[in-house]
Amino acid sequence: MDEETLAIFRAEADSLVESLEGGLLALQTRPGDRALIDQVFRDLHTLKGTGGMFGYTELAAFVHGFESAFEALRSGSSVASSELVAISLKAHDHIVALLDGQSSGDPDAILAGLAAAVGDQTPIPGPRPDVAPVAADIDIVIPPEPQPALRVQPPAAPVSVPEGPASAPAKSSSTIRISADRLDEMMDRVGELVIAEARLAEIAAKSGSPTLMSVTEDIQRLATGMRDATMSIRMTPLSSITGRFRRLVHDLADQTGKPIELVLEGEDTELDKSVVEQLAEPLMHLIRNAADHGLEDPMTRIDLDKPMAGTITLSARHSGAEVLIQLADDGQGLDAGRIRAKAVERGLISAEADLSRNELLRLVFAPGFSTAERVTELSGRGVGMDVVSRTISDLRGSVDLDSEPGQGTRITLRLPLTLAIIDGLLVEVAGERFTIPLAAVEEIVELPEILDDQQATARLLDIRGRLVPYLPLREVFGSPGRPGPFQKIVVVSSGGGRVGLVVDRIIGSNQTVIKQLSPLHSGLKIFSGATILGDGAVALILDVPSLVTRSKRPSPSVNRLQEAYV
Amino acid sequence: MSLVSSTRDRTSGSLDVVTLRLGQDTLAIRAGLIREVLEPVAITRVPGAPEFCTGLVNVRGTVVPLADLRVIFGMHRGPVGPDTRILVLDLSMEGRAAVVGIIADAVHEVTRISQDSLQDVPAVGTSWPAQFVEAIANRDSSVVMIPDLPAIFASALSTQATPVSSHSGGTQLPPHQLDR
Repeated sequence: MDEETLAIFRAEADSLVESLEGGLLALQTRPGDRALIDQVFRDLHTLKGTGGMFGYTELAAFVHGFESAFEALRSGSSVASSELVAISLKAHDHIVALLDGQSSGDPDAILAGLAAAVGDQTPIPGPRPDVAPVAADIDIVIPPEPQPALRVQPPAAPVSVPEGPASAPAKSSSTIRISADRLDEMMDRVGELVIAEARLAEIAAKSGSPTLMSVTEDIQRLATGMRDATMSIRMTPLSSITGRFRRLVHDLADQTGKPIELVLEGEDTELDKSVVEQLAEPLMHLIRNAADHGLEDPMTRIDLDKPMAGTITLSARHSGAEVLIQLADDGQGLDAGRIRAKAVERGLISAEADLSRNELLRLVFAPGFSTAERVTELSGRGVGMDVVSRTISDLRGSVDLDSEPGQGTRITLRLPLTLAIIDGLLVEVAGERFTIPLAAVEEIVELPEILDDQQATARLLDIRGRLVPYLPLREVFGSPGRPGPFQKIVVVSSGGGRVGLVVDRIIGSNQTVIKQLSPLHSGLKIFSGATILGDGAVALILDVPSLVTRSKRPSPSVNRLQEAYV
Repeated sequence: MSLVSSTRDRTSGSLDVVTLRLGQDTLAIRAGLIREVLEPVAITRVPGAPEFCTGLVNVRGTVVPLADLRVIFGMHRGPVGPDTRILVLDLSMEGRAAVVGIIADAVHEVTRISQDSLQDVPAVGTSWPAQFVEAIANRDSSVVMIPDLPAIFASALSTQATPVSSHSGGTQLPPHQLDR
């Protein structure tokens, strides 16, 4: 079997396995739902068929046994017991292991358990040729289809919805599957197009030819349309990764002995495919933290007059050019006193440091605050929070944390909609050009002459009665020479903070194709990437969140921490 | 370093290389690594970047970091002249394929070095840090040095983990001087 065929099989098998897991978890809440049982059965059946076809005989044999149990369930009138669901999830894990070429666990014991759980009837599954495989790298939905394509299962929805994975075969007519690589390539091409278009615009402007100018305008319009269309194809709902959160919460509830309810809101909120993929890991980490350390055990909760089951809420919504994702729990909240003690112990702050509650809470994101390094470890609230924080800032987003003792903790992730193309404001500093993401720009003002003093101690700007700190970029960049007389201040904001960036000149706004910096430069936090300008030169893109952080001048005790962030 | 033995096979015939001049020295780079050789283009300075790699260039629509091996080998760094070239190389960084530019004071020729003429760098007699030299060869009574590019970039990546926040104005020591 060549690699391409294998990849197709894997993609298909992965989505079947995911759909299977979703179905099994949904069966927990709706054990008698025929549609769900049918769906699980169909997933198993398709998996068996394709597995056999592609030479995974061990897998096919195991799935055959698994399928038999569900065939019994289907033909009988029994409902899926929680015992059956639990062992089915184990069987699911075994399938995943088999796909990965490992053989863990004891397949015979699992199959015996399955048979026992359905009362050991031995039915013969009939062939079901009517079932189309449900697999997708990206499902593209062509309208009149009323539902988003990716298999969304309303969590614990009061109404029993027979759609979800089960209805997917019917959708295959209106969606097509595209490999993610091709989409990436398409985005790259659009990027090139936007760059070429910028060059054309520059040449047209110089030529002064009305014909050329008008063609250029057409091309610009088309390129913008192309960009928007391509980006919308890449948009993926958050629901494409929430399936694994349900499973995680199920497992965590088992492990910790705490009943946990996971509430998902705004699952259909869409983000760029690459952002969604990279979000899974930090979100799983936050959920683990919330379940393990946020939520109290059931007895304590009852004593506190809280519902016995803890609630973890994951919600997502759009806010301007950003997406806000919040993970909240209704547990005990963070203990500022303990955080402080730990931070002092770790040498992050001095014992007499005077910090606000908010500043104390933010310490959990400091590198070195936690003892364990790996994201997967489960210990001490705050473990690996620095990893979460780093992942999010790599995605050019930011993390906020809010906690009320006894009420719970809320973590807010702000993320840009896309990582590929943004609108940028091109500025000049000492003859060098830089791009500032336009979405972060609030306003542009002249630098008042009295403030143009290199030695000024308090760098604050009065904008209509509000004081905004400002950073001369010449200083940040170590640029040579002295600035001219008419410097501008670009006021940018991020995560509630604002800073004025002093530049020599505003060149204009343009579409900016973001190119990642190589590993040689990715350690420089003040730049989030680079872009290619109309004349072919490279300009760096400023990272607004880290500049805002840099402008904050905290008490000396937190300086070390501040450096660690920037 | 194990990289040396693994990247060089003394038993097989010869090595296709491109020779170039850096400072007063002649270096050879495997022809297979070189994607293209460019005339100097507009170089964008990266404020705060380590001295070894302060620039970015546009290579056919790709933003490519521009490294200066002269910093590593402590060579004289002359200004951009008529013979200056940028060699675009295909390397691997952190396990992933990466395109990197390196600056050369001049590019000479594509040639062949026989494996027999390769030697390890002598412990004395050169100022080059040995861990960054893969081998040296005698050609036409002069010495050609083959830099160990994987080792050089791996070292640059490990040092950039602690970013230079203030501008050091060119007084920063090359990494090898710190090692010894």
